[in-house]
Amino acid sequence: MTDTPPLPRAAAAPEPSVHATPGRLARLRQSDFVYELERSPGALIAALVTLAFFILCFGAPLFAPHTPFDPATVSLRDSLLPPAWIEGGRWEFPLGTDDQGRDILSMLLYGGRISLFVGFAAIGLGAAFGIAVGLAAGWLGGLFDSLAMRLADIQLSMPDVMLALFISGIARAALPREAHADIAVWILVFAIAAANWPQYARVVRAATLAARDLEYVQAARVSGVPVLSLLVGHVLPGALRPVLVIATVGLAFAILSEAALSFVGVGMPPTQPTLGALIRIGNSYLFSGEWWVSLSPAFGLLALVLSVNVFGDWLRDRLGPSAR
Amino acid sequence: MALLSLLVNRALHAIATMVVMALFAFALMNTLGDPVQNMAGPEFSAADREALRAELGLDDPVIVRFASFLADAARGDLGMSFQYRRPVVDLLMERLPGTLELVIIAAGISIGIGAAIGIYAAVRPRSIATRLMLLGSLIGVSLPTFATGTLLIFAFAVVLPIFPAFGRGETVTIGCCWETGLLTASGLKALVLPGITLGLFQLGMVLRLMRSEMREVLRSDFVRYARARGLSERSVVFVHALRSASLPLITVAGINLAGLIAYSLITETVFQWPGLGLLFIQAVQFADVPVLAAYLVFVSFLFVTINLVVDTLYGVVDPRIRAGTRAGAAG
Repeated sequence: MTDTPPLPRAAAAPEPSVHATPGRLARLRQSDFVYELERSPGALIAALVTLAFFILCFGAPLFAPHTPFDPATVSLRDSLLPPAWIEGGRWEFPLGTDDQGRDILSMLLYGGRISLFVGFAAIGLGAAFGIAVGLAAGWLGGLFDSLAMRLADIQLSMPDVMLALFISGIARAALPREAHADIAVWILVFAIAAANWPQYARVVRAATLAARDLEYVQAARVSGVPVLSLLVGHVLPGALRPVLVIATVGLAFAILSEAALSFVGVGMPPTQPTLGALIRIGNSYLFSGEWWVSLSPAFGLLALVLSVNVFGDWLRDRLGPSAR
Repeated sequence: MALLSLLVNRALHAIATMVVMALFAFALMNTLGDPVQNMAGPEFSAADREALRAELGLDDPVIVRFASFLADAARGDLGMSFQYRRPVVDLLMERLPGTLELVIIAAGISIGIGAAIGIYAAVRPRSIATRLMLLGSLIGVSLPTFATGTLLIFAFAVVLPIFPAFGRGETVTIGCCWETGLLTASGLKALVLPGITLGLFQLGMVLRLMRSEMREVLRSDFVRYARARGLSERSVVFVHALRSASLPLITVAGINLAGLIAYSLITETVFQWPGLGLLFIQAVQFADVPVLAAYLVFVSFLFVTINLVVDTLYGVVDPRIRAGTRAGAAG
């Protein structure tokens, strides 16, 4: 736990002169990280696919051929067109259209944007809360520590999808019906984050316990560094590596959880379908032969999660021998 | 004795967990949502609403309701469903066989096939078949249950109509109340696609764990010694190595079972399988709080029991834990 390998150094020695310092991009290109990435083709492909997903989805308004949620641009005459390479399909709609004539590719990009947003936000929120609890538990010890860790234990004994479902079910019961559609995204983010925080709390607590009695932390303590900046500035950096690994693997899980929740119909409202909801909508057309409505988002989701997983595996092998 | 104290310790933890869950379930029942709003349509008069309220026991003071909640729960009465207006326990018991049969089939698929492939992958790490299967397992882990289900339905119910796409088929009632689909041809056929769908998700996990465990063991000294003694490769792998490599499989099986119960929610939605999961999803959509609370209690009871059994088995099987040194404890 304590003897982690050294941080990736920049391979190029920085020039003494300020003017000759290579640019950020050049430095990144020469780093060990990129060096090793270039030598494992699977991880490289996965990283590129993930990156492509990010760019395409977050830039959906720029890249999507249509704006599927604008009724003015949608025509029922184009409904249920097959993908372009099949007879009857048109290149105007590369992956075909759904029952309302909306372009599947565009819906994928817009839906993927929400999926990715929920994934990132849930991981961010879960990690932030988990880190805070872990730091506090490790530093304070005592009753807070045992209560928090006991709660984490209880939570970890339940699968996270189930927990997220519970929380979104409770949120549905607690909030007025009209509010659901507006805050559906945040219910999802909160539910997935609430299911995830114990992992971060455990790792960070362990690292805090280990660091608490180390000399440099003691030195900072006696020299009067306030507790908060001591924890954030001196203790936390040592725990960031496993946190990063958990977060990468967790991103794939968060995206899957969101998709699962939306698939069973307790996620996003039908007006803002994510990948999971698109598969759900498409399932009813499976039997009448319009397979593309549901299989396209299914393959999109598979490609996204698979590439995040492959990249995450590589990152874990490389960064965290303790996390293996 | 160490085993006994471990057991007592775990049992106390389990009870504490259940108490927390029961409190949580009560708080949920007690605070959330006005069921009358959910159930009563616009045609209900104020008097009708009051009558409904009294019928559901929502007028009583909090303390009375808490006491009656605990007393009722101890008797196996977890309240009335808002949605069905029937005792929740009846609903759960009605749906339980469907879920259990699905989960058992899926567990058999994931542990049996997963362990077999995992052993093969460890014994022949460089063969092409191993590489293909590992890639397949990564896809299996990445492919969400509902997408697997969708693909399987498309392939084996739409394109090749071999298996039914939804439902449990014909069921037969055993004894007083166990509706089984295992005794009819259509019931067994209906189990195939959901069973594979649910099993596939966990299969990847079992496979990867078995593989890494087996590789570790195959590198160890006693295996090298067994080989040096001239034992056949078959006996080295299946008698010596497998015995110690399958130890963690107990824990994995426990996690696996919990995961299967959780993901049966989604599989049941895909296949419209009338089990606990579908009941729960409908309860979430309807904000049927008594069903949510009962399901929470029921499922945490299942999980706590599974964990307890796993811990006990682990203690029984692993002599290091039995001897009181915690070196072998996984968690």
